[in-house]
Amino acid sequence: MDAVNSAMIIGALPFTMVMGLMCVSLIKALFNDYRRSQRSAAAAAAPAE
Amino acid sequence: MSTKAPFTELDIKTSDSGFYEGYSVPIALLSKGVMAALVIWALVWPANANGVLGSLIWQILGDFNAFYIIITGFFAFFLFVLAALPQTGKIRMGQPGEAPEFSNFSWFSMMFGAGLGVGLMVFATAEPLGLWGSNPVVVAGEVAGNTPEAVQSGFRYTFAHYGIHAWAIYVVTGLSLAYYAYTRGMPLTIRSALTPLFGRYINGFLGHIVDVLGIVATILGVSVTIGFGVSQFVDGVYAITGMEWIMDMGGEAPVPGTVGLITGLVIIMGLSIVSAVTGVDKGVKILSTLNLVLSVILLLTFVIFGSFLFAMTTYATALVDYIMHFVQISFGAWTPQDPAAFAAALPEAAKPLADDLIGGATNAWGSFDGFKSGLEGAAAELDDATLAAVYDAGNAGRQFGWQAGWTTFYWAWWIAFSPFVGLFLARISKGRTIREFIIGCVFAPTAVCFAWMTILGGTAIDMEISGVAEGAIIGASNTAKLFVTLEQIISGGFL
Repeated sequence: MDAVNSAMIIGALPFTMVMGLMCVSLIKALFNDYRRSQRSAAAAAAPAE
Repeated sequence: MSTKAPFTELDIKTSDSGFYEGYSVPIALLSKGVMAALVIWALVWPANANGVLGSLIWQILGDFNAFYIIITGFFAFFLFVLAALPQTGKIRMGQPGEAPEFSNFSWFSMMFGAGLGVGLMVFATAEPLGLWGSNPVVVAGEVAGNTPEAVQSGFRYTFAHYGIHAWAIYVVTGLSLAYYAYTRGMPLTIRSALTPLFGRYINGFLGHIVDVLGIVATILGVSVTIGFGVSQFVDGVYAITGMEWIMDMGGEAPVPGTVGLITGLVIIMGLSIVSAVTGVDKGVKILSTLNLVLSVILLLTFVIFGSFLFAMTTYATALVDYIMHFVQISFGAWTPQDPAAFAAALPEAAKPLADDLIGGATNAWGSFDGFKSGLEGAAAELDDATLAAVYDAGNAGRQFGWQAGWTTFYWAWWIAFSPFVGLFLARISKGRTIREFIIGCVFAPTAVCFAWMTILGGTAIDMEISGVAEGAIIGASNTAKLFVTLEQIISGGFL
């Protein structure tokens, strides 16, 4: 295999792992943002007395 | 239960003045240092660099080939779920009620400008033709390569490499960047996408590392692309002018020579410097408009003078075939074949010769006939039925070799490009919902890439099946295939 192609496959590997973490990260962010929006919607529906 | 407000206090120190004004000094120096070290290594000790990379790559592929395949399959299904769930699909990446920044038309045309690059020019004919000759079904010995029976499986893997997965890789990065930038007002940078996991720790050295990994991957990906682009440029100039001094005429077919490649690189570098210096609204705009117009002319040439009917029937059958094999393409990963398992699977007569047989039987780039003719000594004495069983026993090894050489190369290429394309997709998608973003940036470009591949590649295959090209296209180098196909259209029975 060509040297540049090999270097690219090796060099892209750590970033592949970063992309895996980005997916986990996005799941966490979406889930938390969903809970925040649920809570603010509930707070808006029942204003504090 | 309470949920804390998200961490958004990203603090990236940029230089106030001097050469790096507006840039982060550690990130710039780290990524330049890594690239400079690589280039010096390759220039000063080319033999050492070639040897080390050559052996290291197969070691790494042995351990990580399956990782590349499966995580890419996961990216695709991850996006399907995000687009399908109403809780996530409807989220708008922008302030509530904000309309998309760009109209649908300019959104799509900019997207194609970013995606339709060198890969689609070099591989429009090279990919379908290469896979027509060798793909996992051919490697398994079920059909013979370069026959009408191999067209279906050839296009299945062409679609796999240029379809949903390629764009899913770009969109995973693009979506992560866009989400934090437009819902939390964070900067469009790789480290923003990891703040939910690492919080304030991302402000330190960890953040620099993550950004540098993205930059180094991008530079390596761009290097591969420029390599193909320059070779194709030289091949194209040769096809038109016939200048022999730019080619290496020593081999069976002329390939771009060193002098030609360096000349081509200097010309392309000069043009890109001019277009960058004159600014986005002059040079870059002229070049991208020219690119779009010429691409359309090329496509129309193939539609009118090529095998359009063959292309359209292939498109329909290959699409169905691709969808039916989608799960297998996503998760069917191979690992290197264990020599002990190979020896155990051999028929009794061949068992003592396992060491002489494994090399040929697991070679993904040969055929059964090639395997037979390559045998020496006692192994060559075995009868055909035994040898067929031996070849069958090596299938797992051949499948691994094929996958590591084709699919994993593409996945790595698209991943290396994803910070670049992802950033661009994020930049043009402010105000879109997650569902719009995924459908618009995964499915729409996929459908267009498939048409491009079937119209250009289908014409080349049809000319080889019908015998018009007499093997000329198959024999040409990857970067020359497009021009040889055009020559055949002009000189052959199609015009």
